[in-house]
Amino acid sequence: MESGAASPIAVARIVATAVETTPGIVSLHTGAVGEIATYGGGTKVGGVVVRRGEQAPVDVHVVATFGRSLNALAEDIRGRVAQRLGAELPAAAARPVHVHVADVSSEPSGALTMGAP
Amino acid sequence: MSDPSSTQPVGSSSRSASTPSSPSSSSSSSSSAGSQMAKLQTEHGTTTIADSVVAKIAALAAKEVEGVADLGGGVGSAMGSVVGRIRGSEHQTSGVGVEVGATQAAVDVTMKVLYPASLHQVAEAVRGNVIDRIESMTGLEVTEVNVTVTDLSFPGGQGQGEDQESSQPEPPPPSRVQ
Repeated sequence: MESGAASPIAVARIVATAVETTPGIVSLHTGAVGEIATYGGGTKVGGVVVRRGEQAPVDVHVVATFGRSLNALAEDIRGRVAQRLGAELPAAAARPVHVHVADVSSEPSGALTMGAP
Repeated sequence: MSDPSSTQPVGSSSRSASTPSSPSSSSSSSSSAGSQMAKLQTEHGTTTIADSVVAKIAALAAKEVEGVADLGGGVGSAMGSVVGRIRGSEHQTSGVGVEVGATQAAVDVTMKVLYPASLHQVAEAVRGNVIDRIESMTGLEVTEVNVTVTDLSFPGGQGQGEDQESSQPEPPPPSRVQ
C-alpha cells in the first residue's frame, strides 16, 4: 500500500495512539453505544473518525481530566497527532484534526495539578 | 428598585469577575451558526466542547467549595436522585443548568449548604469558582452564575433542615372563637 492511499483504519490507529498518550486525556470517547469509530475490515477504532480522502478532516472524541484548559489540550492533541502521522504516514499529516470534548473526568483530585500527571 | 439604570439581573454580581480575556472571542464569526456547542476554530481544526462538559465543570467547581453539602434539592430532587441512579453519570450534573453560546455561558446552580456556613459567602465562593473553572478550562466568558440555596445540611447527619423544623412541636394556634 502506498502511503498516499493509506486506509482510514491505518490512519485511525495512529491517531488513537497519539491521542491516548496525550497528558490530560482520560480516554477516547466512543459515544453512547460505541458508534463513534472508524470502521475497517473486521475491526474498528473507537473514538476516532477518519474519512476517505487525503486531506479529509479527522474527528477525535475525548474525555478530558478536570482542571486544565481544554483548548490547550486540543492544541496538544493536534501537535501529537501531526507528529505521529508525520513520522508514520507523512501523506496524512496535513489533515485537520477536529477535537470534540465529550466529557470531563469527575475526579476532582487531579484538578489542581493542571494536567501535569 | 424602579430606577431604570439599575436593570441588572439577579446574577449581576458575577459580571464584575467575568473579564472578557477569552481567546475564543476571535472565533465567534465562523462558529456561531446553528450549533449549541462552544466551538473554537484553529488553523488545524476545530475544538468543540459539549454543553454537558460545561455543566459538569460547573458541578465539580461548585462541589469544590467548602460549605457546599450537595447540589440539587428543591422540588425535583427526590425524582432526580432516582433518575440519576438509572441514568448513571447524568446525576453528576443534577442541580446545574447551563446555557452555552459560541463564546459565552450562563449557569444556574442549586445547592444545599452545610450549617452554619454563611450562605452569602458560600454562594459568592461558588460563583467565583464556577467562573474561574469554566473560563480557564473552556475559554467561554461566563456572563452570570445564579445560585439558589435550597436547603441546609447538618454535619451530625440529622437530615435536612425542614425535617428538624417539622419535628419541633408547634404551639396550637389561638382559638379565634369562644
